[in-house]
Amino acid sequence: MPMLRVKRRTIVAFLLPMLAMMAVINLWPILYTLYLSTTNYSEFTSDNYRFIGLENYRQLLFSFDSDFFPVLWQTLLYVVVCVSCFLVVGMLTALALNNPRVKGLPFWRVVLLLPWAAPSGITALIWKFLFQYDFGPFNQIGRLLFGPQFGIPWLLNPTLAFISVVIVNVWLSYPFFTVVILGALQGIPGELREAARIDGAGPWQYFRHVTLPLVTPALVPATILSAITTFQMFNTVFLITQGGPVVSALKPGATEFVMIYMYNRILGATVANPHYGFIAAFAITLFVILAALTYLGSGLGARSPRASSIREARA
Amino acid sequence: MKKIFASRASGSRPLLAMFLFSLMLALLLPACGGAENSGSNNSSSIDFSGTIVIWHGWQGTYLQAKQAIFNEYMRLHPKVKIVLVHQDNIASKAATAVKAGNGPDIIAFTDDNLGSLALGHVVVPLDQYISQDYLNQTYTPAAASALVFNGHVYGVPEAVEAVTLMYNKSLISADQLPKTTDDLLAFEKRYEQAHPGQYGVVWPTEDAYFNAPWFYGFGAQYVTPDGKAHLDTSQALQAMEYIASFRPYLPKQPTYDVVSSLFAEGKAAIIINGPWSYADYSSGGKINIGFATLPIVTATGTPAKPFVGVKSLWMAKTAKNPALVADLMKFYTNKANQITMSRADGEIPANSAAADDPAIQQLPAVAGYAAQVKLGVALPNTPYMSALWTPVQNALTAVWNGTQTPAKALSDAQAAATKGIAQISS
Amino acid sequence: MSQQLPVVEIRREPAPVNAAAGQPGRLPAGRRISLLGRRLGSVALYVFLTVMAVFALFPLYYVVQASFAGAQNLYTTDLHLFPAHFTLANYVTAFTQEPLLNWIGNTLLVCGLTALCGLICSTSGAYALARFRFAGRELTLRALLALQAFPGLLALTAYYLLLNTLHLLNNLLGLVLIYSAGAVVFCCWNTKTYLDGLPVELEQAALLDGATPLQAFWHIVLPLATPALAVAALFTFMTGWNEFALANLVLNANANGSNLTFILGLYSLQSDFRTPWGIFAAASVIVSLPLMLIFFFAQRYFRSGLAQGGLAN
Repeated sequence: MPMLRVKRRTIVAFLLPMLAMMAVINLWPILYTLYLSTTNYSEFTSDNYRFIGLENYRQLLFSFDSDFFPVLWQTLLYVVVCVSCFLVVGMLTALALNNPRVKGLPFWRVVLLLPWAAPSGITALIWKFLFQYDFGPFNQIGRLLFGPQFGIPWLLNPTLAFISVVIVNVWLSYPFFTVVILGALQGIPGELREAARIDGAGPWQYFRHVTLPLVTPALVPATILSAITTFQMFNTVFLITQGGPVVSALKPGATEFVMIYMYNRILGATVANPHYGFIAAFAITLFVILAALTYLGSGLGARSPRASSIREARA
Repeated sequence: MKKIFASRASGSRPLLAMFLFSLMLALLLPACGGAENSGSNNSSSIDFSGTIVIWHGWQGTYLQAKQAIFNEYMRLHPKVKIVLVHQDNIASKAATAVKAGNGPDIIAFTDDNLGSLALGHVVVPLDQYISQDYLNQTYTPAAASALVFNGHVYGVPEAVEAVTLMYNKSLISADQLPKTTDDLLAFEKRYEQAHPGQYGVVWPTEDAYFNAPWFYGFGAQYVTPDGKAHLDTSQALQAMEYIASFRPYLPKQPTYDVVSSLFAEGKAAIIINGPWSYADYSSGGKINIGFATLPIVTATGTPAKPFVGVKSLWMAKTAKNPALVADLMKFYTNKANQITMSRADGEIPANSAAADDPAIQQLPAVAGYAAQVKLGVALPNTPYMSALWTPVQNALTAVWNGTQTPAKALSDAQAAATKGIAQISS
Repeated sequence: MSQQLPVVEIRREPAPVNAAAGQPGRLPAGRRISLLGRRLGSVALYVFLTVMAVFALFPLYYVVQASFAGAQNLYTTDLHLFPAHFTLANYVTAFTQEPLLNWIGNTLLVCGLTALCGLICSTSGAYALARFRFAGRELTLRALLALQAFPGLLALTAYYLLLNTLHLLNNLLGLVLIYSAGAVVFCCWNTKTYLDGLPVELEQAALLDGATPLQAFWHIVLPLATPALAVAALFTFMTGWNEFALANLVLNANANGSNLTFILGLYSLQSDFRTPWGIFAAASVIVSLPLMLIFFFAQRYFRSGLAQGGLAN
């Protein structure tokens, strides 16, 4: 790439506004969090906290009663389940919308993409109400059909609560995959289908050997990006469950994923004596994981932060 | 649309650049200021000027009654400006803000937080301005003692509060009220059968504060003053099992907003709730509310014992004018203003002259809450209590959701609380 | 480079003409079965589309109908799937009793300023990264990528302290500042990627003609980069409007809650036991509708601004 030759002063002047701003609002908070993570800073020690080296990290990673690995595990499970569902639902809807035999395509297209356009914060609050046990419409409909004893404890049972937030996330996110896959499908030349038919390939074989390989290049970055955004998901899940339901006083809540866990330990409704130092160590560890994932992703083709931002706008 | 973006991006850039620099200046300049006031101690004359910021958790009709008193103070002292700021997590937000020199002047919260806030130097003593003698002479004994920690006075009490039985007089009459815990359960069953889709009694069954009456009534306690959690006792188990026995009859998600709106809509005959809710239910003559004390625990023969909280105003370390703060505190809790407040929202005044006023004692709400307060236990103000709320709440939730048995939930909560207490004392 | 942009452009192919469609009875057995298969396939296709449509629409439909049904309570044991009496009362109440317009105004202000701040702080820097060779360029690019992996939520304590020091707590500008952290990084990266794809010759010529780098940047590059800037602004704008955690950290409700963003406001409506569900629904619809329109409208625009910097480059 050809570059322009300019004076060093000019370069500095062009860079300065950005770097100054980033130093204050990007770099300093990270460095401060890093510093906090090496102290025993908590609400009660806020006047006389001190440097304690890597003790917080030891507690976080090597203490037998640390919540870190359970929380990380359930977050990863959430990511895997969600992203698989995105892929399946996105693929099916895209194939359906790409089918020329479907009548009224514009109608279906708009309807199936609507969840993407609705502000996710608001729809999360709506879903929360739909799931409400005693008064939520889902159970009300159930009672109408199956009698007054009917009731699915959507947000009360740990497994169902997990499933519920998966459902909501799928609802929010499948349209992104639909659009990505649809874009790729439309790039497949029509002659390929004809050629496949002449070769006697059935629909499944066609999908397996033609469609899938051609769509995959577009899917890889989208999948990685949405895995990263799901990993750091906060808003939607928090607005619905606050990380609950509680499984035990000794364990993190069933939908308490990494970000929610952190938030609850600092600003949770009933938090006592937040250990800012420990939480900072948690945050830095997460940052390392996220940065590693991002580099991994960039190696696989997701170089631009743009698409993740598309998703952030939704998350 | 393209055009709009285009003109924004190129045409008006000089303006935007100027805006940026002024924004950055505005952001950076105050950082250089931020001088912290250590508080000079001259009580002889009070400087009646400046702004007093109060962080509080008051809401709704409740808040309006208090705002009126502060407005009156501002009318008397035109150079004083009082700013009320509602905060969600007062304790932890105040800790951070005060440390950075940007905290409020007064923190208004319940007395159980005094211990931890005082230990963290978030609130500071004002013995020079308000003596223990003044406290004892002005306020009811329980209220006065709640403002003293480690021998120092930290502020003034405004009201005493506890949860009690509040019932909807158009749904049930006084003679139908359950007298014992067994009665209460039977009443709930009967009422639900007679009125499908409605409830006899509701309360937030997953909340540590609202369920304290059962635990303490069954002879259990959350924590001792020296920091021992007591959740693994047989009494605690009995209380937990009693609460769980309501599971078939109450809503599955009985959060505060759910049970409160059930009562407000006339879908629940009785609610266990406190003074903060009275004004909202009764205003506009919506619900004719009767009061009764919580039932007697059948197993122990003692009444259920709610936490008695003392709503307090403390001086924050960041207070700029301690003399003025003290004066405002005294004004806010003087007899006349306390009477005004009680009339407006039915709270029990902490000022003993106001509490003894026959006109106040005859207010049904004040009488109702006052009768319950006599039977309650003081909200533990040991800092260790802060390590109990979450474990107890989690145990209650796990039992109510059916994910844990009462025994297992309590033993887990005991372990979690012990861990939390250890973190506090270390 | 394949495109993963949210551009919904479906080619309308004519339905394949089935030569045998008119005379099914005379087809050989094999073709008949395959025709039956296709019929079943069609049925399955429409069933699937219908199920998905119900899934996609139900939450939205439920809220819309509730907003037109009188003042139902949030916690009622009666199920309403259709408004019994169509009324606009909820909308009137939402506008007159709740500080809805303030919420919308606050949110637009915060998102708008964030987008602005992101652009202003990043554009010249992005240009420098795209066009100038200097020591530390590679490092800066890598750092940008790493910063992008750092969600602001992780530095909750630090941001609180920062805003506290700047006296920007409980201030919309404080929120703008935090949101700008993500915005600057994103805008810079997007603009830089876009500029990478633009030819450098025009600027070289201008510099040879005696223009200063600033003039070249201002008069040549900025107009060319407009689509990228617009899209970056749009995305940053959209990032802010659903955000709850940081907004909740920075903003504390005043007496009537008029200083909140709409997501905080709606959250407070839902957890406030006195608020009828109908008002919550009406407020949600009022807030969502313009945003959804913007979204569908802006989709067309995504292509030009982002295509060049496609994410699989």
